[in-house]
Amino acid sequence: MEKVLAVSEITLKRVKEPAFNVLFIIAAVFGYCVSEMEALSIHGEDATIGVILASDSGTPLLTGFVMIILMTMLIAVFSGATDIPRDVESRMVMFILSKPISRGEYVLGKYIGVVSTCLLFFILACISTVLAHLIKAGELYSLTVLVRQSYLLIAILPFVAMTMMISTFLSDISAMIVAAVYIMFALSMSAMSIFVDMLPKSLGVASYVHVIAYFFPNYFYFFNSFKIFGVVVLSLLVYALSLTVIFLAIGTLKFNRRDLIE
Amino acid sequence: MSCGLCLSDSKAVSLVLVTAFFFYFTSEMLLRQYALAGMGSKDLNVNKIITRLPEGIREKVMARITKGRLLDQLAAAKTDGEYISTRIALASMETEDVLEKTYLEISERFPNNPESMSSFLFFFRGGPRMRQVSVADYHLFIGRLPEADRYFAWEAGLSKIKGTGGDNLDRIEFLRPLLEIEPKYKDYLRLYVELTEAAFQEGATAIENRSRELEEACEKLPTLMQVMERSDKEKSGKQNKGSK
Repeated sequence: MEKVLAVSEITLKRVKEPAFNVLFIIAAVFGYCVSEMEALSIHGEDATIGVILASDSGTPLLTGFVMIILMTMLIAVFSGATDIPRDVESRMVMFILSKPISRGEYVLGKYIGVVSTCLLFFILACISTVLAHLIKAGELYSLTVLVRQSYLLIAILPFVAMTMMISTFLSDISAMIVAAVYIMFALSMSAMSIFVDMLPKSLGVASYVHVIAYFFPNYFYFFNSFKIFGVVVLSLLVYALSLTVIFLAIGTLKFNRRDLIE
Repeated sequence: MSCGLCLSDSKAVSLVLVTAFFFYFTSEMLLRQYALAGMGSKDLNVNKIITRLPEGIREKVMARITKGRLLDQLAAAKTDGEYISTRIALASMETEDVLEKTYLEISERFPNNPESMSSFLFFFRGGPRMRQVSVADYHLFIGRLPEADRYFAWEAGLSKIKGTGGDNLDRIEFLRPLLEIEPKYKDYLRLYVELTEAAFQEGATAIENRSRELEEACEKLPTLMQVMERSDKEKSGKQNKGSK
């Protein structure tokens, strides 16, 4: 585990770079700007997505925090998809792997490093949002609301793992493009797989769509309203962790077989 | 065994993958059920989504969905009435030939069911078809129906006669059995007025006089709607007493 943490520390050290400093300032400003946005509800033309996302029961998400997680995901794509390919290109990976560190540990370490970077961004933006709300509205968010918003971080775990898995197959730019396309497909399939459940069973399309949808993580689940303690949260955690393990395992299998001197 | 060894070992990774997939499918199933349950209480209209489809395929998709819904209803039908109405609705989406065959099957299999009325009406004064339902056949069908459904069968039969260019004699022939029955609802008044008028025009005084007598009798009766409302109230009253 120490070796994994050592790799993640190298990754995390990148936050000292000026680009990341700018990113964190953006996080703070962004958090401030979105602090007074209301609970997530989508009306009008996009009501269909709104209905899929928002349930009547449970604690709803605040739009501001959803914006923050979307920004965090953007960083996750950039950081997660480029980290390993850049190490491979710069031969940094050879240097690291010349130490008693396995390739699996390297991938895991990189993963933890990128997740930590995203975590830093998210927390910074959230603190800014909470403080801005305190200044503007003169009150703090209730603990329940804050806990629900913090659950958004669960979505980051499979998300980063997915981008890192793609990055073990491709170069940095290609990995970013493929990750973005995969996310778009995932969102479409997520909506479609829920939509087909509302269609008549005799049409027989649901099973085909579900099979295809299993190849894509359903990110809508993370944005649903639910009680902060219960089976749904537990299921969501298991869902995120199992997806993370699947993506990282595939990434590790590929990385173990990859010729790094190509 | 160190963590490093675990991760570099492809077999171990495969084993981890299998376990992870098990948890993935289980948790996904639970989350899907939750998402669907949450949507159940909302007005998520499939039709609304379909209206956003390109015009060319919208109608085809809608027709397939409608047919699918009907097939689901057919599979879930608990009564003969539900089965008949769904079968006819399904056949209506097919060709004229399929519809006629369905009507024939329904009229033969369910001759006592009120839902078969459209089948009998289809063959009653329907021209050259697979089956002919004569006035006498139609009267027999009405006779087999429950009291509350008979009026509608009379009404529908009369409309068919008018719609197919029936004259006064046809109307008299069709409505004549009404002179032998004791009307139960005020609604029958309309039918007796028709009969009186046709008999008057044809100079059938005996029929006209008897029909006028029954018209007067109908005036004093409650309407079918009133009887049904009264019956519903009585039922709910009994249920309330039972629950107390």
